Amino acid sequence: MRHVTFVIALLVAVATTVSGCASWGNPHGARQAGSIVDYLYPDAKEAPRLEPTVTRLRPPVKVGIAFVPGGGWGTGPSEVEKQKLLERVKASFSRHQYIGEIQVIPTQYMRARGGFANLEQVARMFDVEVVALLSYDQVRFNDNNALSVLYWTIIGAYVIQGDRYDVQTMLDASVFDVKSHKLLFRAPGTSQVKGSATLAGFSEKARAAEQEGYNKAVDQLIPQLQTELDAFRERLKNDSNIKVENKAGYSGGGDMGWTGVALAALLAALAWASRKRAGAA
Amino acid sequence: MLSPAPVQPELKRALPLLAPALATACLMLACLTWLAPDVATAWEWRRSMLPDGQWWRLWSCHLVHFSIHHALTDGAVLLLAGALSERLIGIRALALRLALAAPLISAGLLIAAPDMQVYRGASGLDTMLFVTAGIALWRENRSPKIVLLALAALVLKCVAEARGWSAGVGGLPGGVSLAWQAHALGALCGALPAWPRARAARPAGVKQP
Repeated sequence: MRHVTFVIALLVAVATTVSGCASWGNPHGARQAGSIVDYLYPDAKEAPRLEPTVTRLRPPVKVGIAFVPGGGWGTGPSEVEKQKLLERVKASFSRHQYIGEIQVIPTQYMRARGGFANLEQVARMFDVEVVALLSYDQVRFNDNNALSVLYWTIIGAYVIQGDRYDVQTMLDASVFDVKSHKLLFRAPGTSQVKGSATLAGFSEKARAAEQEGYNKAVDQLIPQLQTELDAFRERLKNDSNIKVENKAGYSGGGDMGWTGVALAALLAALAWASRKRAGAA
Repeated sequence: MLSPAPVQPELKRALPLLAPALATACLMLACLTWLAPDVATAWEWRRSMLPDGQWWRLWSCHLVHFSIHHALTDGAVLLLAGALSERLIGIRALALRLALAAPLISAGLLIAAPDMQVYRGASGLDTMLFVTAGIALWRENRSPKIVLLALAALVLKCVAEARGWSAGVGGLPGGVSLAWQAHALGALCGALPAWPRARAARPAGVKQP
């Protein structure tokens, strides 16, 4: 009898423990962030003083793209995943005539809280003039639904999808001119991925959802970045603080273009018409 | 020395020869360059051409282009403005102007575009021919207002190019910048010789028939 009572008490304890644990990790969620402000202005106690400078751009501009280093160990996507995301951004912008070579900069070269000094070092190392920094903020909320009570059955932990996740991701691409430290333009990309998983498979599904969150955020980021780039090119025409110059050693072509052809045709037509009038007279 | 000789009546009836020949040469060289790129490389303008003794580049650079599209647009203007100029001022005067303007534009680029290393294109000469023809038409009192408008449009085009506003309507390949300085120098070469004579020859108060 004592033996039976002991077994029942043990079963109740196990069931209570298992049903009370929605996940083995943090029951509330997780957060990964890489802040551009922490990277570029690590020790700033007051707003940086902006001095009026002229930013000189010499197309085709050499561009570097990199993820901002995260705040601690293991934050953010893995290096392999970061490289894949950056390669996607690179592929979208390689076709522009005014953008020269695009270098993907591994995160190992970016020192946490490195500031503009680190940015300049990296720019010199990779021979780039403009750097696009991707900062990120991803939050995963964990919840469990009513079915999680069945986890006490042990089998339920492998079969019942009692855990839910909600992954919200924000990526922000900020494009800086390295020499003048000036922010040229920026664009955001956001995503939300929701789903559910069993207790046993929660970590794997949550990780996949986090990766999917980054991919979807990049999907939104790329067209936004293109729009901002086009707007920046229009702004250049009227912004006296940004000058577009030719690179030393460039090749030049004298080209009348179709506008010139139209003007020449107009002149020829005028001459022909006046000759006809003179002939008729 | 650059003032055109009075146009003989028989020249006005002759078909232009020089302009079509030059336009055809531009197009043929562009096709040849597509097959053998070294041809254009041997004829293009280079910053080091004078110290290296390659004087022919002062003239030859205006005949070679970066692409067939580039040669097409420049050749078309060369044909239209050149044929018009030839009929207005005569073939001898045109040949003299082209022979003198080509090296002047090339030499001017050495100063006006100090960072440029390579140049190709006939648009400097095209602009010179356009201005020459326009001033000649204005001098003969043929639709003077519209001619002035056309010349003003050309000047605006040059200013827009200098500001970097021109894009997407030319034939230059990626990585090659528009050398607006060649257009400005060409316009100067076309305007300066004709201007004093144009002001002296224009009859006052005569209206267009």
